[in-house]
Amino acid sequence: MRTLVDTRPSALALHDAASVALGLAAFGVTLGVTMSALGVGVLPGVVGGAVVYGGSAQLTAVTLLDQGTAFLAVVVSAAIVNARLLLYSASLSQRFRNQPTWFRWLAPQFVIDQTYLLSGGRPDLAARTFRRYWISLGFFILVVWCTSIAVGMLAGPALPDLPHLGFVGTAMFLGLLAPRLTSRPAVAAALTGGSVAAVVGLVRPELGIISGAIAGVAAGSAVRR
Amino acid sequence: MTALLALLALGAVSWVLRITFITVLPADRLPARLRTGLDYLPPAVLASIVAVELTALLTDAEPLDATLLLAAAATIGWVAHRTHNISLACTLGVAVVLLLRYLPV
Repeated sequence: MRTLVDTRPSALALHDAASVALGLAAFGVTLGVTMSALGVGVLPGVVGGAVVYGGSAQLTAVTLLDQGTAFLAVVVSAAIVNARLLLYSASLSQRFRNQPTWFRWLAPQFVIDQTYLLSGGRPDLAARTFRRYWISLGFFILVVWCTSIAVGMLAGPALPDLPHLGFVGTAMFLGLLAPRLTSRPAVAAALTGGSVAAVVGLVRPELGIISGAIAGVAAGSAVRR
Repeated sequence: MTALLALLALGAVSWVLRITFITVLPADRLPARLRTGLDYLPPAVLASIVAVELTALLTDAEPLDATLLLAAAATIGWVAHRTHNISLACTLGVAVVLLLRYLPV
């Protein structure tokens, strides 16, 4: 029997995208305002938002460019910030395995923190349903992301000064994290990952998240044994 | 123009990172221990992102704001744990930002 999930995966994707829209929008507006202040044009800002599809890496790139860093160093440093995409790719591999070739080459463009984590909460979707869900989820989140960057860039000077706006994004990640702390290995992974990321991030900001992620995975595995 | 080129190059590198274990080297060829370890990637990466973002926010904030942000983060984490509601966590985040902006201290 086909369920509502099978027939309306886009509705499910819209529901999931809506749950993170506020946090994404806050981060997108912050990024847009920052890029506007750094003199980045609206076209590179919004096109970059869609092509890079990763706020921290884009922020790193435009900040380093503003500081006069060499082109190659900018790309490499920002790519290191996005290195966790490699881990997401490995983790999502199984769900892409029985998909058409076009999907396996193009749809990974939608791999970001939110799509990886939200789709992880939908483990029972069949291959075809997952395909429709993934495309819808990636598209909805992309629309929110690019629109909020554009709003930040165009309306930045008119917006009220909210120095801690980035906290909304942090709250979104807390909302995604807390319900997952249901086992000892998961708690160990989170505690270790967070501690390592905070310490490493103070010394080398671009390495904080990837270091924490690797350390956390190792800790979770060790506790399970 | 330089910004656009840099972001396009970064986008290309990021796409390679995204497809590496999905399309180029499928992850089922990775060692089993590594694959099972990825079960803990979500809590590990989420805690890492939260830690890095909070550290940056607290470093830049006034002492009172930093204390309030830390308390708010703990409260939001607790509420999210109880309710499993991401939208509520985001809404509480907005409330904290507005409170810190407009609170007459």
